[in-house]
Amino acid sequence: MSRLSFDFGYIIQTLPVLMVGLKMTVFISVLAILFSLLIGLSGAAARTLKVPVVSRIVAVYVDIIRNTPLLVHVFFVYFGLPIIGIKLDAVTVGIVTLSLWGGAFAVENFRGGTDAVSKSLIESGESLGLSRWQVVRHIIVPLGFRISFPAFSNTAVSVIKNSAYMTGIGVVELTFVAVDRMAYDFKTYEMLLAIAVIYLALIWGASYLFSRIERRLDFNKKTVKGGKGRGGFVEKLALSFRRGN
Amino acid sequence: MEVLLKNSHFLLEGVINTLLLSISCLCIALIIGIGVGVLQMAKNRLVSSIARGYAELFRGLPIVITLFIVFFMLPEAGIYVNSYISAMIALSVWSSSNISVAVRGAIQSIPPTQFEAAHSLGLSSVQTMRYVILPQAFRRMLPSIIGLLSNLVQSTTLSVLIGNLDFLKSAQLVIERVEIMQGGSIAFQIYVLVLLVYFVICYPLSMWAKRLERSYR
Repeated sequence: MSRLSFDFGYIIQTLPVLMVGLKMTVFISVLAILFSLLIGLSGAAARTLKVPVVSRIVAVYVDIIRNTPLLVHVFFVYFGLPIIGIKLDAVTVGIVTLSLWGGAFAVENFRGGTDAVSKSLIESGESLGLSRWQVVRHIIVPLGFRISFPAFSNTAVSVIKNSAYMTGIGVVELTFVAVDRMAYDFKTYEMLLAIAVIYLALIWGASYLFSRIERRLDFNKKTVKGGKGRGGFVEKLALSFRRGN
Repeated sequence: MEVLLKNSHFLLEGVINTLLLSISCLCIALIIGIGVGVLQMAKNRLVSSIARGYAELFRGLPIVITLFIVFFMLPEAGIYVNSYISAMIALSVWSSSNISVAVRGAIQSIPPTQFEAAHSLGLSSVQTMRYVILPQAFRRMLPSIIGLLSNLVQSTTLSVLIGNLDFLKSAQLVIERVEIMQGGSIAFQIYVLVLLVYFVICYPLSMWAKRLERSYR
C-alpha cells in the first residue's frame, strides 16, 4: 500500500475538470448515435428492399466493420488516411469512426426488426391493394422499427462506452482527462473510482432513457409481439450479447 | 512489400501474442463465467445478488475503464505485473461477466421439469447442475460464446493503450521504424493489413456463431 487515506476532497476538487471530459464524451456519443441511427435505417432499408448494388455494398460494409476492431479503425483513420491526403482532427475522427461502427451494428439491428415483421402481414397488406411503397411505409417501418428499437438501444449504449477508445488518439474526453490527472497527482484510486461512477451513471442513465422510449414505442404491444422471430431464446441471448462491447 | 517481408517475423509474433491473449482470456472467462452464472441462480439472495452485481458492473463499465482500473490499481495494491497480465485479467473479467449472463439465460431456458426429475432421482443440487443442466445449457450458449470470442479478439487491441505488445502494437512499431529509418510513412498500407488480418480471424468466428444461432432457432 502506497497510501492509506482515500481523498474525497480530491474528487470534489477535480470534478470541474472531469465535467469538461464528460461534456466531450457526451458530445461525441450523441452525434455518433444520431449518425448511427441514420446509417442504420438507410442501410437496413437498402438491405430489406434489395436495392441492387447498394445492398451488396452495405452488406460488405457491415461485415468489415463488425469483424475488425474499432481501435484499428480509429488508428487507420487518424494515422493512415493522412498519408493519402485525408486529414481529420481527433474529435472528427472520433465521431466518424464511432458513427460508422454504430451504424454497422444498427443496420443489423433494424434488419432484424424488418425481418421479424411477419410475412402474412405483408401479404395481407399487398392483397388489400397497397403498393410496395405503402407496405413499407405503413407496415414494415412502423412494426419493424418498434421491434428492433431495443436492439438499437443496446448498440447506442455501446457507442457511449466505446467513446472511451478515443483516448488512444488524444481526444480530451472523460477517460483521457482522468488518465491525465492521474499522471499529475497520483491519486489513482480516487480518479478511477470517480470515472467508473460517472460512466456507470451515464450508461445507466442512457439505458433508462432508451427503455422509456421503448415503452413509448410499444403502445400496442400485442401487434408487436405478433412478429415472428422475437422472444425466441437464442434471439434474447444474442440481444443481451450485442451490448457486450 | 519489402518492408513487410523484412518485418514479417515481428508482425507474426504480434498476431501470436494477440491470439494467445484471446485464448487465455476465454479459458479463464469460461471458468469464472460459468461459476458466476450458476451462482446467479443460487437460492441464497446474498450470493445471487453479488453474482448479478458482478455481471452488471463489468458489463456496464467500458472495457477501457476496466483495463485502466486493473492496470493502475494492482501496483497501488503492491502487485506488480506486466501489461500482458493486466490485460488478461481485465479482459477475463469483462468476458466472464458476459458469459455469466449467457449461462444464466441458458439455465433459465431449461424446463423446470428437468430439475425436478433430477432431484427425484436423488441427485444433489450440485450433481443436477453438473450432469443434467449444464450439458444441456452449454449447447444453447455456444453461439454466444463463439460470438464473444470474436468480440474478445477485437477487444484485445485495447491492450495497446496500456502498452501490451499485441498485433496492433507491433504494426505501429513497424510504421515508426520505417518512418525513422527510411522517411515516408507506410501507415496506410500497414493499417489496411492489420484490418485484413483481424477480419480473417474474426469473420469465420462470426459466421460460425451466426450459423449455430440459426440452427437452434
